[in-house]
Amino acid sequence: MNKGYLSIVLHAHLPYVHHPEHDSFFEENWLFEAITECYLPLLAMLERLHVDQVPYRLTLSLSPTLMTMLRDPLLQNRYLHYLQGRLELAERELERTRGLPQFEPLAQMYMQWFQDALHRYQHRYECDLLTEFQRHHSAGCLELITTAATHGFLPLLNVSPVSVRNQIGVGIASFKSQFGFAPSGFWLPECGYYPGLEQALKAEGITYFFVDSHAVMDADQPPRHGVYAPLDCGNGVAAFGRDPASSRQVWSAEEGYPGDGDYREYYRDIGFDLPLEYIAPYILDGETRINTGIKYYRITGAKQTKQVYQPERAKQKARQHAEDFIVRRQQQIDALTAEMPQAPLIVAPYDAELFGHWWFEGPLWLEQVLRLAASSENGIQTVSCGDYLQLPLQHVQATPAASSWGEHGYSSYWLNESNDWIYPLLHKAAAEMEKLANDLRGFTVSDLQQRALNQAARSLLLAQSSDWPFIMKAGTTIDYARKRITDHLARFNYLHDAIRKNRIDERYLTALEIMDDIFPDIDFRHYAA
Amino acid sequence: MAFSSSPSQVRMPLSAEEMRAISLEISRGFAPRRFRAGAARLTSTGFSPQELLSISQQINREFAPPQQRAAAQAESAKLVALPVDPEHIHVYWQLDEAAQASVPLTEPPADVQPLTLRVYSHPAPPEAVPLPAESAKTWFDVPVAAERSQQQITLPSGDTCIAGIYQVAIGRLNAQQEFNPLAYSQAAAVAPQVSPMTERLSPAMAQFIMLPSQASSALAVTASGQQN
Repeated sequence: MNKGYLSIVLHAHLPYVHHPEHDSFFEENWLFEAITECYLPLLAMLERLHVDQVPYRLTLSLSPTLMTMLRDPLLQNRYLHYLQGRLELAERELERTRGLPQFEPLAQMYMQWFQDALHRYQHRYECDLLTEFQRHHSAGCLELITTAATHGFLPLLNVSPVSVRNQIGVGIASFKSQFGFAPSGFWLPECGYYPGLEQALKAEGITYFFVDSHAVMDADQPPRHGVYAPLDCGNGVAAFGRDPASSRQVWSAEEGYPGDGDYREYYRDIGFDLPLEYIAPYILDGETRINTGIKYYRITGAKQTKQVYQPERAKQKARQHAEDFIVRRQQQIDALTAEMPQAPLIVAPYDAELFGHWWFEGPLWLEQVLRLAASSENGIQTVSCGDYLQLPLQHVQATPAASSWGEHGYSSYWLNESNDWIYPLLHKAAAEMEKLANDLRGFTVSDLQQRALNQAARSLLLAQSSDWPFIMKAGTTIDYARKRITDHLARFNYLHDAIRKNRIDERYLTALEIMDDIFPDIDFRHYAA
Repeated sequence: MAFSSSPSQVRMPLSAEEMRAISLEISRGFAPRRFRAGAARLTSTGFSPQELLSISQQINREFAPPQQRAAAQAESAKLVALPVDPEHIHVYWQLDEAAQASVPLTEPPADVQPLTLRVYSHPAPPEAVPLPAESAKTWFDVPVAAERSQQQITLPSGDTCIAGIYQVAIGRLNAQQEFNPLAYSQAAAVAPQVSPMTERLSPAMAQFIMLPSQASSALAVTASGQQN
């Protein structure tokens, strides 16, 4: 008997990293690693569930930048080249570890892993992962939704409501052009919400979105059912709050499953462990060590010497953790049912890239969770939030509080001394884009002018990505983040100047269109107030 | 002949799954692929990676925004307030050259008063935020400390009610402590400082819900070091 609902949401996003101006580019590996370690394993999991006829519902948010990259021919070709390089390395590892009983089976595992990835990507999916995701959507198992065009952190772009409107509108249009239908749900980048945002979402046909727990708990009206039922924001758009308990079990460094000693250690990669002369052909410029994806150790324990990874032991632990997750949800539902007139809904959103990349065994854990939840004995039914809204239920009307799911729960991760310099520049560019669109309202523009105006809008959107200030704060690839913001703003300034002076150089414009080849249907006129 | 009576109307039985597979196959093979335009352009326009890089670098050299001077380029005075969290607002400003030039770097001349930020709190969101009247609003002053036209303002603890609306002005205090504003910000809605709703839940429900400060610190870093 069904006593409660569980909605698992995966948000898949990577910033737009596309560099045809270089023969190869390190940061494009972000996509390649995610395809190999996250998206292909996720699709394999969906296929196994489908073959076994497991009834489940899972929600997958695909960002427009990620969708664009997954269907970009240049990146598709470069991914094949990347995989071939990994296969070559795996082959060398087979030779190197021959006769080493602890490592040889692992080397064989990686060889098989990359072979399987290449076969499925190139031959089975014909380099088109989106069509495969759509297949599972069409089968009624996967709900596909999307997010803002370039994952702009909307609370800090709200100085210009037109910018927010375009981040949302272009994101949804991009999703429609890829899949042929409109999403009903919307992933707010970083769960960044401010009161009033629901109006912009409703205007684009969105019926629900997600917020962090405190957005619901601190809403302007008491949320009678906590985060276990959505809020009606007053305009018919529903806000679903993240369940802290199920989030903590996966995200937390102290309590989370991924930190278990039996799981594969992300930070022990042969790209860093092996002698430079051996690994040089597979790292950056032959000099700078990077992750290769081949890792032989498990997390082990704090302050202990790392021990060799044992895949079967890790798989067993993932199954145990899945059982634990389900048992805890059952206990949670039992406790909540006594307090609620309706079946409680537990919303568990995660970054898709956690599963497989950071947490190697994550896809197996997720698969097992869905299999266990499918058993009617558990009293848990997996749903999408779109499904849940079809139930004949009245929801508390309230406006959530401003919030995000970032560190400290608000905007400080995206606005602090490491990145505050970008906001005057972003806001200034947005104001200039609006002014251009307003000034040209009612005028006919030439094809060349229209191309330049649309490209200016693309440059603005790409500069607005939340990833750049995030990276500046995280301190990882700061120089790249700074360069990307600066490049996109420079491109915007160049185009703005060329349009204002009516001196558009088609050759330069075409070069920019090739480098920032995204949002083919964008219309600069949408920037008019 | 009516089409309905044609023997060719006898249909081959297909399952829903087979039809979906055929539909997807056709879609994959024949749908217009606008996203392939880029590759087509790449070959047809004959740009080499080096040419693209050269154009990108030239545009960057000539049009990259000057980070530190952006604020001084304003045609008119402007102040923007961005809510950071329940305790902080971030402001940046763009003043005209005359006002900017008189920003004291170390010791201000005796006849030039230093810039001041005046923060007005509005207890409830108004329909339209009017310019604050000095006598009608509660406010506090913060001296401008930064040379870079940006500053974070700490809100007094307990000052705000739920969903407080703040507005900030930048200006100078004269010798009589009268405030002469140069620019006003837009209204900024700040999240509530406390989480009183948690306390109103039953213990059965509250056990699964943490306060936001606990949640954020606990969830900030994953086991693998990924921040969220």
